[in-house]
Amino acid sequence: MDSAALKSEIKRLLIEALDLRHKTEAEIDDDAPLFGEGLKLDSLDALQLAVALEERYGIEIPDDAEGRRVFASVSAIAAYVASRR
Amino acid sequence: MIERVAVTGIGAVSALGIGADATFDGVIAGRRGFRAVTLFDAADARCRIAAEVRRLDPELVASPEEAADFSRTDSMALVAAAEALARAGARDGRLGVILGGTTGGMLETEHGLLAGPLDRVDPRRVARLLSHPLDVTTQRIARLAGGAQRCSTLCAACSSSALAIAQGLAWLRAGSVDCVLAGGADGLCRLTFFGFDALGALDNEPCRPFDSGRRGLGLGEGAAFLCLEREGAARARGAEILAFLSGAAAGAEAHHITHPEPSGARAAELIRRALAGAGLEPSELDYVNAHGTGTVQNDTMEARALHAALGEHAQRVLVSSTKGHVGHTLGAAGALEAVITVLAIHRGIAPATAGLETPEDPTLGHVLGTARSVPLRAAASCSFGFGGTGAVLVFESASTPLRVRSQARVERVVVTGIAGIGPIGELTPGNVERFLESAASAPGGPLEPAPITLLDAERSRRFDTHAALVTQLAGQALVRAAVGPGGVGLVAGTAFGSVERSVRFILRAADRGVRRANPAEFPHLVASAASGNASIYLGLTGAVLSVSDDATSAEAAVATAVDALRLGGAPAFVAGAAEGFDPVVAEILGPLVTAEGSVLRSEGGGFLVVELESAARARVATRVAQLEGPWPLASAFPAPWPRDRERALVLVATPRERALAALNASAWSTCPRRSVLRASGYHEAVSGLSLAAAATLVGLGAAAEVLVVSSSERSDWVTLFREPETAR
Repeated sequence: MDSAALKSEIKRLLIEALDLRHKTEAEIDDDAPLFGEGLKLDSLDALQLAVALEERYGIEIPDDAEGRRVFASVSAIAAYVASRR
Repeated sequence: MIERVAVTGIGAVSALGIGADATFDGVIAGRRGFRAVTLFDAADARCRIAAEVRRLDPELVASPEEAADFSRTDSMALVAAAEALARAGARDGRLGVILGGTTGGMLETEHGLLAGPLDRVDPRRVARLLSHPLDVTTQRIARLAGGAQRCSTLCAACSSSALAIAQGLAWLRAGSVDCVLAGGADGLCRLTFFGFDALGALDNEPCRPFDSGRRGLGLGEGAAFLCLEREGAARARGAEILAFLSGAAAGAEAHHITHPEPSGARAAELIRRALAGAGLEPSELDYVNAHGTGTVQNDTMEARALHAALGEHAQRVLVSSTKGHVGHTLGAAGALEAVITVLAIHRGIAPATAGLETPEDPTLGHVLGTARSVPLRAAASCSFGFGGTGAVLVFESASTPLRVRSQARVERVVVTGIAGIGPIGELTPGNVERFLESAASAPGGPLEPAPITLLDAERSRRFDTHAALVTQLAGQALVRAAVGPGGVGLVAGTAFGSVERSVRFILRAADRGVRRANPAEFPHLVASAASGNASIYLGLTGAVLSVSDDATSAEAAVATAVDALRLGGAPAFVAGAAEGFDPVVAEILGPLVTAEGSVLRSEGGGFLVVELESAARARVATRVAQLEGPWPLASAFPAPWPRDRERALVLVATPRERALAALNASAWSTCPRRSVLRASGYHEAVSGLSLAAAATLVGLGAAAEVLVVSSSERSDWVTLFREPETAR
């Protein structure tokens, strides 16, 4: 899967797993922050997202500084997923 | 001056033993109740220990036939309630029963769900599934006590049973009953265990409240009750007074569904309000039984709150959490810790915090190591929960001298805002007549268009239909009343809450593994999630709770709000009921069948803003109607006679025989009767919509007086709306 397709898939996953029904794929910027600003996600979303990514891609997101870097943006998640598959 | 409220009975069931003394002795001995979970398979969870109750025997208090139908929560509740009643001894007069809890018969619901598909239903399983509503336990306690004049079932997450005890104080001060059995019960179940596990909130070692190395909470289960009565009655019958319940305060943070407000400012305000209500200075407090869960967030917040509320005295006051002994018993925690606090005062011994070695905040007066024998004159018990709900109770020694206290205000209550919704749309003064058409026939199923349309999509993204309905209706009613949210309380009635969502959570955890349970979903499954979510969305900081009384939950909610208003608990309350269409409930219960035919299940509800008349006059608010009641329907018809039958109307929310017979025997028998049932379809919050319609009719001048009669299988209520008086 190429990078654009993977990012698009991750955006759909975000919308579905985090109840972001009011957002469309196009409205989520590849490099915008997901937590605090941007999509304004919180710590509950981080837990939920970790479960969703683990389920979809079979990868574990560490609960530490590295995990926080992975969750920085859609691009960062995509890069992590690509590197672990 | 008003009388003090005495604690004359206590009962408890916990992991440390069956009985209040057994529990307290275990706490004082430093025993800890945690062991590997046995009630269900927790092998794949991050945490695998809990403080389970052992040797629970419901046949101590019930026949084997009755006990066979009990949920685990029922059994614990009845054993603890029976102990409290026995310890209080012979009493007479009107009894009130108030139960706080969160998951009721969930463990049995889970057994049923995991046994096979819903369509092959064994009647016994249906009975079990329907024992999920919390108020079933309340009714069983009332039967055990030989009947009760008034019952209430409430949920405010982990502060549920503290709020139940606060409500008991309100009932006794208002004089509506002579004795109150108030407490809580919560059995361990997969939903809460896997839910907290998914949040990463559980410590797989026994928890360490307030310790700098704490890693989370430890779940427990249990039940506890207090028998409360006015001092005069207790002394007259020679009852032993264990302690006085001197003050109580409840409120909300309007901050976040799982995270406490970090500064502790709201919690501090509750502690100050509870002390002020008891007529105590902070320096007079000798002991605090803290909420102290062992999570990083709670314990830091709570330490800050104690400093903010008590000032320098926070260093001297003895502080401990007993969750390291009995675990966090969720809905039962407030009552279990109240029982421990009462015994601490009664025996003059302050428990230590089990698991606490290195306090994160060494400036707080922690009880470290072993329990300390010291006379305790006054003590507070603190409870906080999901959604930002909280309550603080203040107890005093039975030997404290009498102090002058302010009188509870028995003042008129008025309605200043109304909101209602049904399948034909929003209830407004312009369309109330359409809601009352007898020939109308509502479609069943969910509302169209979705009721969530008025809410901000981003802020309400995790709301289910029930939470959306409560938030939207409460918000609309407040806007119409022109009341700002600060200090305003919310009481939301619901019979079922979100059954479908809970079912989905449990089935997912079973199908895909405990580690795949949805962490973000879990905080929205507790019965008070809707009121918690609504309070955060709307910024409400008064007491926030959900109440459950089947199809009369709206009346129970409004009555709770009225009692709290008269105690000065908030400037205004928004109260009512809403029920979302739930496919699981619809499948099990089907349509409502009445003498006139069957009515399909739908969704909707109604809320009212209620204020003391003086408060409404002071802010020059439009008083839509004067509110009398709601009264539970007992032997004598509680509502006054209609002043003018030509201009009086009766709204029958749900036509059931017992309530109709009482109505037919009353002075209201010849007044015209109408109902919203045909236009709204049936759900358990039809009575909320009926209250809203009745207040609207009075506000329009379409009727001078409207009496609403509501009934369920378990209880009947009447509520009267009258034109507000214009003369001062």
